[in-house]
Amino acid sequence: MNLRTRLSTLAAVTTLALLSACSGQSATVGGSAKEPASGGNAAASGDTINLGAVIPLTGASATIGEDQRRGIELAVEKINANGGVLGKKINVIVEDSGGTAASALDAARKLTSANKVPVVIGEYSSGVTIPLGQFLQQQGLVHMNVGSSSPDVAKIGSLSFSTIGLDTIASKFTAEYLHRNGYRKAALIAPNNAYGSGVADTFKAAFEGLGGQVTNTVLYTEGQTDYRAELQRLRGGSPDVIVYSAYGQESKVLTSQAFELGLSKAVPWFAIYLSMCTADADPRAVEGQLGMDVNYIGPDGKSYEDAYKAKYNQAFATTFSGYAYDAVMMAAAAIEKAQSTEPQQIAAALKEIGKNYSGVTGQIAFDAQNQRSDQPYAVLKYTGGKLEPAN
Amino acid sequence: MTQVLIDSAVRAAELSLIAVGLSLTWGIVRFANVAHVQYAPIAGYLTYFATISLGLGLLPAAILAIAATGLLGLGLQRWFFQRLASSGAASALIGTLAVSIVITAVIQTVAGPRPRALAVPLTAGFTIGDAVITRTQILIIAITAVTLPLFFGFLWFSRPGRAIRGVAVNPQLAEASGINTRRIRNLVTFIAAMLAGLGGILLGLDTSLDLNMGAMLLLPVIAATITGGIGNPAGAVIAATLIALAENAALGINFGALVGGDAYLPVNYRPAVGFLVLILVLLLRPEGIFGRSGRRA
Amino acid sequence: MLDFLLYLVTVAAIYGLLAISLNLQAGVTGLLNFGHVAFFGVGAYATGIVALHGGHWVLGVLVGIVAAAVLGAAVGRIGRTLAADYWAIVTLAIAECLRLIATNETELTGGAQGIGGIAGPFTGLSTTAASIGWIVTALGLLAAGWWLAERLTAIQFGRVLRLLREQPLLAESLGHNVTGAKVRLLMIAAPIAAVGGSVYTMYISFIGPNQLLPIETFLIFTMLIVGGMGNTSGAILGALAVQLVYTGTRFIKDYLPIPAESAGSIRLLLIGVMLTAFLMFKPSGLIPERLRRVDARH
Repeated sequence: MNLRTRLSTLAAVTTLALLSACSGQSATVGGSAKEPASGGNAAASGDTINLGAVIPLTGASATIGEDQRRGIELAVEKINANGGVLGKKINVIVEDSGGTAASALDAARKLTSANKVPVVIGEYSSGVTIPLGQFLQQQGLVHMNVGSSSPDVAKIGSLSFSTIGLDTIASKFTAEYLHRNGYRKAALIAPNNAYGSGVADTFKAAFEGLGGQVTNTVLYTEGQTDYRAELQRLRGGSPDVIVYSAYGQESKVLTSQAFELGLSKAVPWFAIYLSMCTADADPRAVEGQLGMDVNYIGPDGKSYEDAYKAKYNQAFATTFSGYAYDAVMMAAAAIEKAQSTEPQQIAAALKEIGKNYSGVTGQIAFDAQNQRSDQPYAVLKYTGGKLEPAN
Repeated sequence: MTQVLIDSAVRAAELSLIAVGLSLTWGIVRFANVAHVQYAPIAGYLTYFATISLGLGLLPAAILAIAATGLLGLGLQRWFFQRLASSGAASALIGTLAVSIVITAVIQTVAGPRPRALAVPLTAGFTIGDAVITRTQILIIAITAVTLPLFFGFLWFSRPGRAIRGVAVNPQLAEASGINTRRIRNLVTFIAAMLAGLGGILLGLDTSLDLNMGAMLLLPVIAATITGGIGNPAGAVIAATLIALAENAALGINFGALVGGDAYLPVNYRPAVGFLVLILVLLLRPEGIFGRSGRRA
Repeated sequence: MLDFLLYLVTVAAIYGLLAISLNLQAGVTGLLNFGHVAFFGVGAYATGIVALHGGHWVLGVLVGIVAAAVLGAAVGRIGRTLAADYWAIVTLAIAECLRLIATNETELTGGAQGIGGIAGPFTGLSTTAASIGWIVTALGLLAAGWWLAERLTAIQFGRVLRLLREQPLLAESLGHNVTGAKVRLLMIAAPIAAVGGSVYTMYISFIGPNQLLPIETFLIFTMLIVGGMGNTSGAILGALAVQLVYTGTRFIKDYLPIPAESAGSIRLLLIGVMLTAFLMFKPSGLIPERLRRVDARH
């Protein structure tokens, strides 16, 4: 092509480059995406302190991601209503992880390079949280895990904190409950990723340690629309209970197809994180199902629940919003305590606060690896569209 | 064993409806249309939106969607693919690829990334021996069992059908004997898109409507088309059945006899069966089991 | 902000390498490799797997290069009697098989979870130093790839490849070893993509099977069509243009009231529309291939 065409192409390309580079504003939490963005692209510039969050607003866990966003939103409102942090307003820039590690890392890059946040909250799936946390650790930034429970999360590093308890505790609780109630042969189905394999490994260890037997472990590939073959596999070995854990959309397909195959009537199902598993399920498919889930206790739990209901006109969509809420509150408290937005100092302050913190999800105490050392759980039953405590 | 047969029949039905159209059009337009598999989710999603936004019942919505999909396929062929085809099969292939990407993106923008379910009441299935079949699956097999013979009847016993077969075998001779090949091409594209749309709606009823429906269908449908011989829709149906059987049998067989204990192929490798069939056929007999002219380099 | 720009350019350079590799295959030789991402994946996973088992990153890169060359040779031999579009389908099927293996063989490849925390040459340095290190490496490799591709197409071998693209039967009848030429070309192009894969993996310190989806190959084809098939500079320009659109869309939601959910699909839509538009109106791309004048006097 001639020189003029070449030059105009170069001009067009350069303009595109400048346009995409000159962004200092991002979608913020504190309203819907349609609200104007608030300014500031450095951690404590002007009158706002910016934190970051990478959560699954799209993908299989979109329902939960949205709920996490709500927890963040409520925390930001509460903090700013009480005077903010270090005399400034707090703002959490929320990015969509898309449910995959690669796009979560992309989002994290944007948050850390373009927005310069000192703390990033996220994600939900262990398969995403772990690479995200590892990246943040490498960058020397604080990571707060609010949804993942794989035991591998504990190995991310000294700057990574979890407001949610890991699977080692959850599986132990499940195994003990099932054993206590006479079940001896369990089949297990969970997603084929760090979370699922974490659940599978920890449950197997706990259940077999009590004298039970795991007849079959099936790790299903996420994102498919047909799981009948996987479900057929669970029959082998005649289990007396099927333990499962699945995210939103896949859980819907799994439970519906199990119902169609008559599998849910033939063998009782027990869910790990019942609210997550039933969030998108067809009510007929999960009626009467038992499962364990995290429990809200704590002096602030009720007022949080009320604030949630008032703002969103419904009861908790999932049980995961509270952890995101607690994370933002703790991060703000840490910044206030450290009187600084330097990641290292925030981390040190978090450790201090985390010795004993009253969160809406209960008492939070970090262990030596900054993981929540104790987690209240409950056994619930899905009845008529709601989760009630099982007797 | 019964379960393997049931699952295979359902899968064969779904694949056949889509592969039959692809086989016929590929034989006539002489390039691979990878966007063809996208007609399946398009019809599915159109049905969904027709039931939700227009308040139609499932059947009228489906008919509307299938007709619309046929028109869409026709439009794409006339105004886009045909133009590219004149620059060569490779250009056309990439063009169909582009359309494929745009279709997936549009579906994602309009319908969102989460799967949608067509409103079918959840019921327990019927037990046959140690196998289970659901109402929807029976419906799928029944509809296909009626549609395919109708289609083949049209192809073999009607005048337009005979003209289509003429063009597929020898376009120049057909043109010379007075057949309007352009009109035939358009007719074939229209019918093929509709059949693929029907397949997509049935698949959506069986599982759910998903963005990736097209992508997941691409290689198995191409495998069935090539194995059956391009331009040979009956071959495509037979090939689709064989592939469906192979997929389900591979998963159902207990290889414990060979390696001791219980050994099953990991479920996640099911798509690999179709891929292997495809690779083998392309390497050993690219004209397909029932194909006529071989297409070599 | 500077950091993010560095990131943009580094990733664009890596994609540029992948585009150069695909250009050698599809643009120059007419080999429509719809499974191109597999070469990237081989390099990426070789680096990841070696890292997972405690090996040095240099070993990972070397293993990737060798494995890619082997895969390239195998794929080239397979294509010997197939028409272009059939070969495209075979390569797609092979790439999908490899992706399935990556997703399921958890012990070897980390499974669906992928492999994280992969170390590279600049791990342990400060963020800025590492960023600079990476951008210099990426641009350096891109320059090397450009030089290699240009040399290859300038010599006699390049002419043979172009002949293969236009008139394969004529090439055969002139006595050229068609399959041999294809195999040799693939054994050079594949490692280029594999190196891109290794660099990418070490740069973002992560590899997972979702990065081996067919859409990645289609993205690179878009780069070629936009930039201009058949010439190396076109491939690089296309990579830059598409990468800008791709990353730019992440910022679109900050300016326009688009729900965060749709940003991903808008990105995809723009890519598809770009590809379609260029195919319809400017199929030779931004920088069309300059056909060499044939000198009558040999």
